[in-house]
Amino acid sequence: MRERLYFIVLFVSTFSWNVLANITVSGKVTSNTGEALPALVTVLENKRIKGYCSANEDGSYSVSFDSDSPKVSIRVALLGYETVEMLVTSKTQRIDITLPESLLELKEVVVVADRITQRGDTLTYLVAPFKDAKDRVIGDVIKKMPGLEVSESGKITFNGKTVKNFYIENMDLLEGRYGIATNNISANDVASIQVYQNHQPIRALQNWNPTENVTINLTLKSSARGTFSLNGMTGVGYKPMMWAAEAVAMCFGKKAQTITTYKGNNSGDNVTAEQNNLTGEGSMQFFNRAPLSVVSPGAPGVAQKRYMNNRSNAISTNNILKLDSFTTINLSMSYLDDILRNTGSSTTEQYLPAGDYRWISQKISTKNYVHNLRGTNSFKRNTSNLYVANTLNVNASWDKVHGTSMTTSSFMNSIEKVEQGLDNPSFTIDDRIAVISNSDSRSWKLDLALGWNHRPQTLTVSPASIFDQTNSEVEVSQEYTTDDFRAETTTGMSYKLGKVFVDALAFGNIDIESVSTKMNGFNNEAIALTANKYTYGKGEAGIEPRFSYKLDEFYVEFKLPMNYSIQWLSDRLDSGRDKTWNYLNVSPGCKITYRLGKSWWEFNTSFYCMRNNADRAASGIVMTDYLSFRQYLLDKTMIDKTWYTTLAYHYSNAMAQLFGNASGSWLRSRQNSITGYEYDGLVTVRTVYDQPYVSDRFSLSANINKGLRFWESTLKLSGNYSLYISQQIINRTPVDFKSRYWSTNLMFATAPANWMGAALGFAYGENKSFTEVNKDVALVARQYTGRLDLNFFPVSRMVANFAIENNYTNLTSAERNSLFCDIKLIYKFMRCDAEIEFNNIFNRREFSRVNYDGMNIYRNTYDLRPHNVMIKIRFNIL
Amino acid sequence: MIKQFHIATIATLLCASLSTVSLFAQRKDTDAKISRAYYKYGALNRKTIGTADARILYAFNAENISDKGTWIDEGQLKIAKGLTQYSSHFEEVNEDNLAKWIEEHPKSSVVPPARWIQGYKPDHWIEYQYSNIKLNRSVLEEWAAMPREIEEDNLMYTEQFPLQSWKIESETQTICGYECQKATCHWRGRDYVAWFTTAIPVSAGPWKFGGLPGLIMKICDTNNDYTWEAVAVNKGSYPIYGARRKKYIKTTREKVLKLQRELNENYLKTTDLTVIQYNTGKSISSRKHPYTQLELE
Repeated sequence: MRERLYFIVLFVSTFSWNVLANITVSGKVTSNTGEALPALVTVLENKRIKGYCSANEDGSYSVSFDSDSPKVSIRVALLGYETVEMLVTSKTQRIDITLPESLLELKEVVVVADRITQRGDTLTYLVAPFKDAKDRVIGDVIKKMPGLEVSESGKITFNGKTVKNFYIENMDLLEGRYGIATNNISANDVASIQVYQNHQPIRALQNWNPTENVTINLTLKSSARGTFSLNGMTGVGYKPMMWAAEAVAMCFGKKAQTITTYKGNNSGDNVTAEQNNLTGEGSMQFFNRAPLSVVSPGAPGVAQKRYMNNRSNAISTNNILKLDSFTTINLSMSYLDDILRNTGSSTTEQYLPAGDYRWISQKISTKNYVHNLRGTNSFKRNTSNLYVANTLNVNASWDKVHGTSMTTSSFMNSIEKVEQGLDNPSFTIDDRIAVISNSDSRSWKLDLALGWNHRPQTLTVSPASIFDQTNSEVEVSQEYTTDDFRAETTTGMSYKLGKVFVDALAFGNIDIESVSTKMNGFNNEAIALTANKYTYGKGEAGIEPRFSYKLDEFYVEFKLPMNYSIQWLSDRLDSGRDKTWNYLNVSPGCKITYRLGKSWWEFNTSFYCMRNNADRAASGIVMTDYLSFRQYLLDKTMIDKTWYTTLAYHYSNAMAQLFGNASGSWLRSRQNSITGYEYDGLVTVRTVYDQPYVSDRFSLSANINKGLRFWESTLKLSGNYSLYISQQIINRTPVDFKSRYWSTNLMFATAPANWMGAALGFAYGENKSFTEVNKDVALVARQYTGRLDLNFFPVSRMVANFAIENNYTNLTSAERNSLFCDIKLIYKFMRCDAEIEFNNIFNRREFSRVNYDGMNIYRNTYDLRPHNVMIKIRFNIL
Repeated sequence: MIKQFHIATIATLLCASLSTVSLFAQRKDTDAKISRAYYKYGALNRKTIGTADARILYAFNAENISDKGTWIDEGQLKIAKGLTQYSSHFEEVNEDNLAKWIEEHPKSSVVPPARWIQGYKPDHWIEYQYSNIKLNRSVLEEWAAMPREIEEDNLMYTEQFPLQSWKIESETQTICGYECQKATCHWRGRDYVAWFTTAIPVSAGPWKFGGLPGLIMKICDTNNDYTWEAVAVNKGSYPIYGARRKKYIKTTREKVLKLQRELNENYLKTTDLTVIQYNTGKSISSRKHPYTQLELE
């Protein structure tokens, strides 16, 4: 049997060559000293291998091949000898070859340390090659990984796609609040970061619905698995007197995981941002309008730590328990207590259509008392046949804002001190149940969600004398209470029809909003309709057929949701306004993706038609802040027809560490009514006019990330362009606006030696907004931020970080450049890290920014934290 | 009754988890444990039969190529003049360390059971890790070391090299820093895709693969049951050790193949071994593992 097999093998090999071959080259390979060499002989024609053989122990070889080319090259090689390649005539001949001896030439390679590897749709980023001694938590390392982008808010995208799930050891502990993981899990505890592309977290849908979801999974080192850890931090600083404290307890076991944190400081560190749900999924979104606010300085364009004046305490606990391999229970709670102070000044200059000019100047300080309590409980059973999930969210907040504004304007003779107070509590509860059941040929689903939101807002403004039509001496106030009840249900079936997947879904939604508003202190005779009291409801029922078809690299999806919508208004102040509307809406959409190897094209187009009477439900006037009022007088259904088209391209090559994406989109919206502003003295009244208009938004963006093989470097480049064409009515005059914006971003991180690392960040943005009238004189706002971080590790226990940052803005009259410098030193000993921070060394106290929107100039100046020193000790207790 | 149920549940779960793992690559599903005698003897009695100038390391059945813990083995191909040998690099490192440990603890009668370097299921036996393939010009020898219970029954046989007849294709790919060219073959019941580099003029590769005009850097069968991928190319001086046990019985390939298959499929039955359950006092009934050998014919 064995012999026969050899015979067949030999026969096949000789046979396959002999049939085609008409040329045989044979000869003998010897060394310089005449020693017979068992070299490899290869015949090449235009670099293509035509035939090959191994020389025998006596050095003789014979290679047969087939060729129409007049010349072929013969390459003779053996490890430890020089390779000889010669061009010979294509004919049967004898060629004896001598190989000169040489040193072993072999390029030594070790590839185990590839920083990024890909297997199927899973990419694995090793943490160690991206990490340096300065990186404390895993979020610091993720920023340097090519392909992964971390936004200011902590939101992670992979090559242009938003991360939908974030797992730790494949368990969904944080349910979207993954900032808790990226800000607290030590970079030393994570072995690798896995990115699952096209990940379907619901096992029952894995063979049904292809998704484009991206999921991130942290793989922990075995030393960090199943052990309980407790880390703490305390710090003091000056000036002003500052403190900071932190305690984080974590355990990641096979059956259960927990992260419990306490964080508090008054040193400008935001401890609440990490509690935000970054995937935008999980809890119900309410469309209710809670419009009242206190005029306060907006966020300047510098890092929040430079200006935030806070006194924060935040506690959170996140737990997951695995009942069996398919069932999990999550429980998470957080409590936040915060006092935020903002001080700054702002000047708004307006050039109104009729040639009018007005300005308002304010020196503002606000104090915001934030209290928030949030709890989530969820249960999931996720098997390949059945998915059952229930999520309950409860959110209560009771915020109070107090603001003082020293206001003067073009129509005031003096500076007026305006006090504003806002009482802003809110309570939300919602629950969602999802069931998906599978059989071989079909999948059935039911989704049911219920939610209620209660929000009574009260805004008080004093003195009342800043308004003309008041009958109060002291203050005016605005009450605004909304109760919003929502129920959503979807049910349907998925099945295969030949090669086409069909989803037949039916849905029904109800949204009932009760609003009660009252403006107190104004002269009722001068202003009619100072109150609203109504219930506005919206019921929708419809079907959503969806067809998808996958053929090799192509995926096509077509959907045609149709719904019948009933809207009703019941006005308790004027029953004459009660009305019911009925509509039939169709919103077709189509998606095509084409995926070939490392490239991925995606085309999306969809059309929506929205008919809404929510805005006109309120007929009374509402004071949204002390400078703005709004009133909808138009008795007409708002119709918004939107057509959205986007084309995107993604490229991902893990081996070359190259990731890129580019996209272009066009959004056209046709509306039958238009927003307008009317200026009357100090106040602005926002209203809606009966005039159809079209707005267009074009945007282009491109992104390239590249991991470089020298110095463990990463380069990230991105560019954006957008053009927005719209219309507004200013003082009853229609004005066409155009706004053009482009920006570019660069990030380069490198570690040229093991004693140093550097990161360079640069962002430039340019905005030109204009109207048809002032096209030629419109201002162009340009700004950039450049930051250089130099890290030195003179000894392994020590880290020195020098950061220099410049912020430039062109429209300010003076001080266009704001230069900041920070130094941070870390010394590690035993189980502690001692840190000393010198912040804002140049002691810059103010930051100014000017914006221009085509007609108005907004000058804002913010107070910054003075130069300060902060000492922190981080310690590992367990 | 309840205990039986428990065992059944555990067994089912185990099988379920194993079968999910073995979906994409042949893993070590066997009950067979590696031979301790082999391990200690190998550490103490190594006979150098040659010295290689170059060594190629291969990840064998890696689930994640950057995590050695998910590999079954790190194979090594040592290249000397007129002689190449494929063996387990994990085992060689462990033997080196064990030899050093024994030297440092001369009075100890026991040896550390743990391995210094581990792959996937380090104590479990699979032939592709514990057999040595020696290639002396056109004669290929498999020196098959057997698992613990039959560690005296080591076998060897010879074959004529090369074994595969290749079809060279034009596609290229960089593997481990080397520009490689694609070649395919059908061999003993499986279709293979190999990537070879003419930059290393050695007509060999991992396991029994070779016969191309350059070194095979990566090879896998089309079911992805068996994969080898080069992870390092080193030059230097590497001793080639002879087979580690004194006694190897010369036999035929078919007999070795059959025994190896049976050991993987049902170790307890093949070795007539009875394992008594510690808490029940009952013997574990032999069970069959899903296993498909590399050579199917």
